[in-house]
Amino acid sequence: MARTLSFTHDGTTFDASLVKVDRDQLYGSVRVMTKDTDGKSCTVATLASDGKTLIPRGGTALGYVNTEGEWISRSELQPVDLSGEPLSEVPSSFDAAIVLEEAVDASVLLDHNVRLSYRLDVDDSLPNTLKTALQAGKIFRFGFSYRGGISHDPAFILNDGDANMWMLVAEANDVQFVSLEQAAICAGESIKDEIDNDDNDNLDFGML
Amino acid sequence: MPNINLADERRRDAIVKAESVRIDEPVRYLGPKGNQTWTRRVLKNTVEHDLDSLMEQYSSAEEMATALVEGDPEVDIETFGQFLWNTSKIWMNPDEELVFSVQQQEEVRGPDGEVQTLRDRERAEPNVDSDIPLRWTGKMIGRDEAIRRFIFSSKLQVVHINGLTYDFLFDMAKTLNEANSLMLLGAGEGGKEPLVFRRGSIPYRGFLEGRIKDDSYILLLHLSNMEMKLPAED
Repeated sequence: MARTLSFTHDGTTFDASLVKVDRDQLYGSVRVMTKDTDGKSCTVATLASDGKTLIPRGGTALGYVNTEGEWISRSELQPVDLSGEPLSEVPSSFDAAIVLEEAVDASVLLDHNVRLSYRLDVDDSLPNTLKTALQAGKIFRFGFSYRGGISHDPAFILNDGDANMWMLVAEANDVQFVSLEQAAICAGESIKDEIDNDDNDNLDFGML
Repeated sequence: MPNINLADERRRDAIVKAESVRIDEPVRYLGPKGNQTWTRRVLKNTVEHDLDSLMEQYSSAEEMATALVEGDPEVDIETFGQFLWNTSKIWMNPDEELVFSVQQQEEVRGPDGEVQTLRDRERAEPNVDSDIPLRWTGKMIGRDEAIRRFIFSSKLQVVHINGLTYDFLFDMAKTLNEANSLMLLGAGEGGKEPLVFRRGSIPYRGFLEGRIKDDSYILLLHLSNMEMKLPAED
């Protein structure tokens, strides 16, 4: 069942259901099946460095240790930012209404990587001011956290060309202007590991 | 930092660099003594101690359950909990034996979940640093339209490696900035193929965006493998 977020815009609160949209729903999916020479299905496992210990899927776990090699339980961990300042926990975005007030332009959204895309299902309670703003091409940014945690992810609300309302959950990037003096170093690995006049609508994403 | 072979609108090409713009680890975790902590992978289970192996040791599930209540036959006290280093990914058959030779097939399902075809696995070859440069396709899409048509899930910043490539990329960024648009790039002989960065990796459509400020520039390669549109049933 779709979960519901509450938003506040211009003093009016409304609810919106989140409907996740992913690539599999649009184009289908591809599943790789691996078999041995006898036709038996194979699964991925891990071989330990001793060369003989076979570890099945789910047979490893992650733990935290400090500089002295001592085991630290998750409850003892203190999250801090890059400068060492403690970070406080943020609540889940489903716990309270999200205020939509920060409008940004397209280049701000373009500076982010979109991780998740949701269609927002809103009933007639959508405030007219927001409806008008979205139809005029405005984009609103806010902080979003599904379960709560140490920080919000940047998220955006905008309308597509068909006036559907979307919420994009993203991650920020560090995009900086570069000048002549900031040439990249040539050493480094290369990635080993005709102008046509077709209409834009001919882009075939299903072939990817 | 990967190389890419990129051509401009006049089809002049040059090898330049594509840098990651990701922000690494914005959060660190400190232990109770205030010192830095790291994650370590530890051993939790082996095939000798999983459910199949335990079932072989006991005549019935009830007997195994009794053994689990009375002791710890599922735990190897000598090895469980040890840190794991230099592990290898391997294939294992249903008999929990190492497999050295495998055959792979792809099961292709449509958006409705129905199987459409079964084929040998296809691994696309990388094409962003080949003899054939990535080309401008001539398809310009305005910034405002692009963010409403495509989901950009990744991006790379294209940067120069010397004075000549600075001029080359600055001119490209200037042209795109003035057009306030993104240019669709294409790979391969026909200049229509999606971009593949590593063998077998996800192919992406690449869109080049340029911005300039005084004598500095930003040239961003936006990557997308999904349109912003609703599934057919919606």
